[in-house]
Amino acid sequence: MDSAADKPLLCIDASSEQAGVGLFGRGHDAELIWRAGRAQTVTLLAQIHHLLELNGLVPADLGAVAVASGPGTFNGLRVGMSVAKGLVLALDLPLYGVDTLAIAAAPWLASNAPVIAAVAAGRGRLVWAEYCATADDISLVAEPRNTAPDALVEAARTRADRIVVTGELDAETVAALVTLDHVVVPSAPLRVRRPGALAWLAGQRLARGEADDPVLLEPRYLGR
Amino acid sequence: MQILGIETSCDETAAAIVVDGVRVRSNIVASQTELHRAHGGVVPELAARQHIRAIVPVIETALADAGIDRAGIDAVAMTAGPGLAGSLLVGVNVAKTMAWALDRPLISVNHLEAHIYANWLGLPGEEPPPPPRFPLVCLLVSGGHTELIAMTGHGLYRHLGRTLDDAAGEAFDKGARLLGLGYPGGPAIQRAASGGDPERFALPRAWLGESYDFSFSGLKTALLRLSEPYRLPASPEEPFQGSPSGPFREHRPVQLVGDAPVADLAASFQAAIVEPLVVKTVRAAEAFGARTILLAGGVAANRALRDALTAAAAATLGDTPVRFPPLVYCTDNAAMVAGAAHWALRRGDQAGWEADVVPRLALV
Ligand SMILES: [Zn+2]
Repeated sequence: MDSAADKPLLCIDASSEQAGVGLFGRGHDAELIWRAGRAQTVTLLAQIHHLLELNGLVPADLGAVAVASGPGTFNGLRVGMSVAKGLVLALDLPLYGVDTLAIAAAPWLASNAPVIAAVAAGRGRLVWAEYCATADDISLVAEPRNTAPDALVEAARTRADRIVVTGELDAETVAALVTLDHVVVPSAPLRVRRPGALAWLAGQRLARGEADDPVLLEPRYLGR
Repeated sequence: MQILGIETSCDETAAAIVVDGVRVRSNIVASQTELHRAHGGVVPELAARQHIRAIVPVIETALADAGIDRAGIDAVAMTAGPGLAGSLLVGVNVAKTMAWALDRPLISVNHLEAHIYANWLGLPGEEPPPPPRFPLVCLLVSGGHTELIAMTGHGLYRHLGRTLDDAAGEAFDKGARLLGLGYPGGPAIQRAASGGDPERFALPRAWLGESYDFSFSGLKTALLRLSEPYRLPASPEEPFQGSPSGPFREHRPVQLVGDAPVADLAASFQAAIVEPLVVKTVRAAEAFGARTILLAGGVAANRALRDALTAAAAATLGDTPVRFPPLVYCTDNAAMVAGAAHWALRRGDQAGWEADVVPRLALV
């Protein structure tokens, strides 16, 4: 059997109504991002099929699976996790769960400022957490919280240093954040979670030999 | 044709391998009954989370028990509905992905149809039973459903009647709760009713004229009134909350006084559920010239129902056989899903990668 490193990594993120899939490694760097709404079951596998077709691959060509493991919307997370587990069952691939908020935060850590990343948890709630960069990875500063958006704005307001706030934020929350001089809010298209960031984080885990047990891996729910 | 069936519509995580729709190679069911017992009913969010944990070992065990590996799977079938959305999507997405990755046909199965096709299954290692003869009438009774269906051939259904309120299994659950008998209610009532006098208490039957529909909500209210004098004061104020409204709220069980006539109450209650089911099923079988009467669903495990239906059919219809599946195929399982999928695939019913869960899926 070929080792996982000889074959590309499939990335799956259905943590919220914004979904994405990606294919990275061994000459591949492809991703699809779309608004799945609550129809993740309808679109996720169809998009994976499309992504592989675009890249001239079949399922047996895959070497590993990485899945966004939450927090996020409960059913969205379960769709992503079920597809990932189905792939492991059918193809016997190594599986890597990756924190959804870290995926949102990762692209901004190069700024050397701390990053607060948010994901929409449904019913107007946000789950968010703060991250900072380390040498070759990212680290969580404080445990994620599930709050109304104004608690996130308040947390950003009380900071003295420069900070980036990214992820799924509604217009009202963005408007409140941009009035704060020390807060940097990337524009909406740049705040979208990217499967490429998922691939990078999974790569760190892969390098450390930290694959997940497909029986034990489950979504991080973080209800209110 | 070896089909992998996957079932996660409610509170059982199940996988099975069935050959040609009749021979069961393996049938694995991870029950969540214990998880939900403290809540007096199925808590949807808890059920969905448990499916995510159980699905991989359940499928792996089903393959190992059948003595095949992934390459030996000829098709993958899943329950698409009816059921709980958060639970259904686990089985549907795992099944779809496995079928896609293995390049095998995918079959989307109606849970109600699967229950009916449990009557075609043989126990592992045994010869399958002779196939039921068409036309047939099937009484499908479970915790979620009470349906009377006529079937003229494979995949050809005609709706005759259904419950207008509670399902029969739900009525058993609520009755058991009123009598402090625990959960699930069907087996608890059956146990408590043994030796009881089914005629001691007059409980209402909703006949609903000539229709084939059922109603059990009045029965529940009548049992509340009958059991009230025996209830200990510590009981909850609102015993009729179907499932707990808060997702993880504990259920406080009812307690009756020590000398309450529990056996007679349970037997009278059971008889009041069974009688309309039996009378209407036999009437439908007569009207439609059925050559077989089938029982299906979890409540088909109820002995009083089996016995009464068999006796009534023999008295009215002579030699029309009444059939019910082995106990393990009455309650939710995946062998019935893989079984039904065989007949669907023969009709060319194949699902695509965009197949969805349908929580309110109807049979006809
Ligand atoms: Zn069922």
